Amino acid sequence: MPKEFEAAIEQFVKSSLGGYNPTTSNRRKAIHDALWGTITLSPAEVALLDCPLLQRLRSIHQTGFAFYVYPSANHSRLEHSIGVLAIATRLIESLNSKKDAALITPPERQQLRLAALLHDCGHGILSHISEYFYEQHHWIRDLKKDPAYEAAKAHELMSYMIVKSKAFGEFFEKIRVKYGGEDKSIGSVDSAKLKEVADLIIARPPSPGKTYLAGIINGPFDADKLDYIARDSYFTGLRLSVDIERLLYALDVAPVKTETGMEQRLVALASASSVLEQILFSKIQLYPALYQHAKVKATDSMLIMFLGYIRDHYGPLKEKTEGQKGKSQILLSTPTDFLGLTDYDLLNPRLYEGDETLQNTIRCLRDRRLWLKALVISSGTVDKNMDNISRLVENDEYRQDILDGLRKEIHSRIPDNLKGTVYDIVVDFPKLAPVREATLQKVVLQPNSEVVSLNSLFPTHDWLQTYVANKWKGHVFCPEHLQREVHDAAIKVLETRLDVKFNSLATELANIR
Amino acid sequence: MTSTTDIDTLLKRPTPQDVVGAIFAYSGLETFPSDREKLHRFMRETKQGEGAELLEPFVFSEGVDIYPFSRLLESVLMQLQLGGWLSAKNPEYNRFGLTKPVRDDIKQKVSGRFSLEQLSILEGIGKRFRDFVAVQG
Repeated sequence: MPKEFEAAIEQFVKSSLGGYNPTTSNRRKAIHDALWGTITLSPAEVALLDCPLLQRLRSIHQTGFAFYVYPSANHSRLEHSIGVLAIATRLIESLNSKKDAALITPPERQQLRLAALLHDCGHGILSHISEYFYEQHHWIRDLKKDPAYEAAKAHELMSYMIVKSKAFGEFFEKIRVKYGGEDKSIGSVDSAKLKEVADLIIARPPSPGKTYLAGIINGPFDADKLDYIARDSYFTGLRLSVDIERLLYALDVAPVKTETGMEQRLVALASASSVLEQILFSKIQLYPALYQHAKVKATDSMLIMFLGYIRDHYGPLKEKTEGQKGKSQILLSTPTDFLGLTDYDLLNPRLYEGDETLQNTIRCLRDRRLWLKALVISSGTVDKNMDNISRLVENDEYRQDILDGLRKEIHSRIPDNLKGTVYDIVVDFPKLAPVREATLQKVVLQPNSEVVSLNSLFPTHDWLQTYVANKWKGHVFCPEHLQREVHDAAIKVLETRLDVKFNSLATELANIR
Repeated sequence: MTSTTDIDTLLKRPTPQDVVGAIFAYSGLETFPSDREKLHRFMRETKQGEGAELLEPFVFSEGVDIYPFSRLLESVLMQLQLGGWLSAKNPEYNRFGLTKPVRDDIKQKVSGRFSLEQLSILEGIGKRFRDFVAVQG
């Protein structure tokens, strides 16, 4: 674990919780959620939910600025975290109802509920938009070279480190001391058990015999996925459905052979395999319909360039070498810098006094003057093989440099009187939606007690990968006044550099004005 | 600022897609099973042997998944499909295919991105992959 990274997380948690004392109400609290109805929290859980570390999530939109496209998609990471707690609890209750002796003990139940509440506390501003930046940082890259952390996403690693930090441990101990006398479950979560809560967030079980516990928080059909599929589709109005009641009915724990031996894992009865397919199909459909919707990506691109401009002009390195014309009170150099802000902070023009570029972008965002497509890149708009494009859709060390280089070359071809800045153009080659649940895990319990992967019943995995590859769309985005010029320049630059040939659809689908 | 020359130089650097694409192309196989467990195991074994340097970016999980799994490898398999270097064979979807023109195209394109020594290693891994498929079915 990089020491610098640990120290920065420690600093962030201290600044969030330093001097803060947990609230001390002795009453349980009922929270009414649009999706799951009444959710009950114990006094200790309320004290945790009330702390600034989690309240910050109230001001982090679950789907970034997608509300500019789907007006009701204003749901926050806090709502989602409470929803994950609700679903995790239902998964626990379903499992316990099927066994004579409770499979999941009250202290384990408490650990899972804490992990559910805390699993997203490491999300930065604008959710996955800021993750786009900090996942490229060498702290995260170095950590992910370790096989123990390879599977975890960048924000999960941040949440894991926050919960494991000394400062958080000290804060949580205050809650434990206050409520642990009457509430034995919370009393059982000592510092060692709190570390297990952190482990659950990155899918690490407390012991191989209890892998199913990690599966409730981070697995093929975990509470996180069940909530975000339901929540994101509900608040956008997209009609996707997962039959959670049937999943709860079909849920079980069974021995599964792994590399290191037999493990007790979360599984579903074969009769409910269609629900597992629903989960995968719904998750994958959210990508073209929401996360990678062209207008959502155009908005993301504006925000990415906005954050990129701040990083490039106001990072500590630049301050040492260049004079600054304006000022930004925001520094975005390290992953933890993205934790100290909320989405609402970002839209405050006073933070960028004197910097015309930043203030202009803020005005555009506030007035919803969003960027437009200047070029559409897909298997339907490119006549030759796209192998040079596909080489650039994943996180290779030089991917970002190449995309930045293409953006700058396009900008250099724009007439001087229209030019704007290089931060007015984005070449967006989004990542391919991750598909792995159907092959990576054995989750279907056959009538003969054998546990198999979903893919062995139907080639869901291969089918979905083909679907994802065929649905993929890249774009060049820019402000409206540059659309025609950027379109013409982008075709020339991308055809030359990436050895592709665009057809007329590339232009038609961009709706050049 | 990244210059035009820089972009060309960066684009010539081998990527994980080039490594896996080259292995499949050098295997000479028209089709092979898409069984992920076998593919991931083969690549991990290769990384522990002759492909250590070339497969360095592929990190295989330990203790979380039911078999050693690399997120990057899984993504590369999709990238290969997106780029037209690999196709899932209809209707069963349990085999990948590369036609001879595609294999030749891959070999031609990657030849400028790897050193002669690396190409020789990739050719060796490709042959071993062919033998692996023959044994595994």
